[in-house]
Amino acid sequence: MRRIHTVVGLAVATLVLGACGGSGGRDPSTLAVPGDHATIQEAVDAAQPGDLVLISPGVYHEQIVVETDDVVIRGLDRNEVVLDGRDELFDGFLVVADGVAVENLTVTRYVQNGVIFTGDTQYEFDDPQADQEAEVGAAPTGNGPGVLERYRVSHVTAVNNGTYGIYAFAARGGLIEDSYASGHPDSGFYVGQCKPCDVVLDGVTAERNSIGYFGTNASGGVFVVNSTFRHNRLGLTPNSQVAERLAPQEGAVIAGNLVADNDDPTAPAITNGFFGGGIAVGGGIGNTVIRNRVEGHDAFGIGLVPLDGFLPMDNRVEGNVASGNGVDIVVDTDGEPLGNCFSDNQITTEAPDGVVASLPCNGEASMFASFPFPSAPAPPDVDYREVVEPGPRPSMPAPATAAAPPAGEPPAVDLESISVPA
Amino acid sequence: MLLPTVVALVAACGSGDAANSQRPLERDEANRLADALFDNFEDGGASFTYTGQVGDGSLILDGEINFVTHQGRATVSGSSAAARPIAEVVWSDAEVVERLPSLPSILADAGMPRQVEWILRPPDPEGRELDGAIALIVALASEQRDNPQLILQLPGSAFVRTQSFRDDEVEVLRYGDLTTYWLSTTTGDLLRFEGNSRDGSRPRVIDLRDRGPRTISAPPADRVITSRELGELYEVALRRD
Repeated sequence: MRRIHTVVGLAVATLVLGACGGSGGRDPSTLAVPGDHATIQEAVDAAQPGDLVLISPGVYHEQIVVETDDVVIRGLDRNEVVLDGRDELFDGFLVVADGVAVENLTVTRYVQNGVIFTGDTQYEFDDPQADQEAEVGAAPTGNGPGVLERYRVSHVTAVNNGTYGIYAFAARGGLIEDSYASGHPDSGFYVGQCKPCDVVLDGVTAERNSIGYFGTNASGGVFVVNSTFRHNRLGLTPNSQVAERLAPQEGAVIAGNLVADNDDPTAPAITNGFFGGGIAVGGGIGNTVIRNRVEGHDAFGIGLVPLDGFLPMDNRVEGNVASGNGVDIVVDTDGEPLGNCFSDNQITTEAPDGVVASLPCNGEASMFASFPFPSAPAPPDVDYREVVEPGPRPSMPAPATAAAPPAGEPPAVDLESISVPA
Repeated sequence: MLLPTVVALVAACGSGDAANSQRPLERDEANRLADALFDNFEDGGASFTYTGQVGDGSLILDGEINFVTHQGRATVSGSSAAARPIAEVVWSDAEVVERLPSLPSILADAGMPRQVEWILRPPDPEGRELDGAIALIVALASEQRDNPQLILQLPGSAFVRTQSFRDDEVEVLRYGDLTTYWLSTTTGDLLRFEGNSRDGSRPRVIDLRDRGPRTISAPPADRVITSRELGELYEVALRRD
């Protein structure tokens, strides 16, 4: 994904490494920390594509920069391999290479992010005109040449980091699975500025963050499924914002998630953030919200709301079960249908009254009334560094011997197999 | 006169060899930019000097800010109409209280003799230069860190140079194309902020020093009159040099 790659270079690399990378003909090695290398960074720097960096239990005060493609970094015990930034180091893992996987460990107390995968979108300092053109052209054309390709996060616990727990920016082709994030003053999981993103978040849990999942300008092939978002200030939000490129956001699927009690005053607050909502489609387009259970929010359960000048349009909300919310479903589009629709949701309250019937997925939409948007008073901020740490989380099976393929394309999601969680 | 002072301050960051040393930001530099305002919030407050160019002259505020409560106080000077009648200002998010030494005589002339020099009014950051300056000072702290990813891709972001400043070494980093931060290479603290309008006509410099919590006291209530009580006299007072 690095900018030095040309189209020819990428083609050659693909021929050499295959579609999902690899070791280029040599047998992959396992680099043990601290057995073979004293530090994780030393091992990562020594690794070649296809290698596995295997970390023994311990507390590591390092910030790791990964610049080699197709490396797998794995802890031998999710709860005992701890990268601790001590509120001084910036990122636990800063990954700028393609095909990297981070597995089975804990990252905590980093000033910025627990784990970040990021493409190269830096301002073209020597060619402002090119940068301006890229920025202007980015919305219709999608990811630029600097996009990071393929990443995987599995069985990672991110706790009390200063911005995001697990963060993918300008990155495509991701799988974030069986991971956990709490105590983040922005969001536990963040996918931003990608089109297409081609990312699957499956079986993740976000608790006591300002926002559980934050998907700003994350469009195309975004699946957030079978996950739990609870006790945050806001559960999850695919959304459009001008602060990032590639707006507006479109085409995320939010399916089969438990979204509960995201009105927790013990979660840290994001600046100007919302309090008391489950799923908020903020100015997003063409998103699908299906078969989620959404309950216990002071303000609303599922909301289609404007954000940053963007209107929610063509979103489909279907088969969800919502209860115990200030209102279960809310649509804030000044009475305009805008192609949004609802079908087969189990709800008891809506705002404005009659909006669900006015916007059927299999029928003709009609205008509906405007109304005062439901809100709940936001309690004072809390220091993210003082959010109570979670207990142990399940480790991945057989970390010492399990296969360690580099990150490939994310698996296809079988939406038909996803049901409303208990 | 402030203009040469401000021009000199701003020109210092863009002149000669300094311009040639500019390069794209490195990630650690973006990280430090992202931290700067959060660090201010964490430190609680600071003493500051604000120097700004207004259309007809200068506006200088010298005072203290509590970055957590947003309360502050400053002496006011400068050659602009926005500065001239006001000697001192105290503020919070909800109100601005200005001290006009000429107010007792204005009140006496109007037949309402009172020994009050302070005028309380609501903030008007869009309409009043003074309040715009206050808003900028308050904005130098944030409860949350910025996102270095976005700083890196912001047009104009750049490393400018390193230099000595006061008794410290600073790295001068441009955050986008309108603001420049002078960060201590020792502590990472924001020592100087420079900003300008897009047309370059309103350079502003804020120097921060003596960081730490501040307690800002409001003027005694019996020394304060509201702008509403003053009515039209308020505008008269503002125009009195």
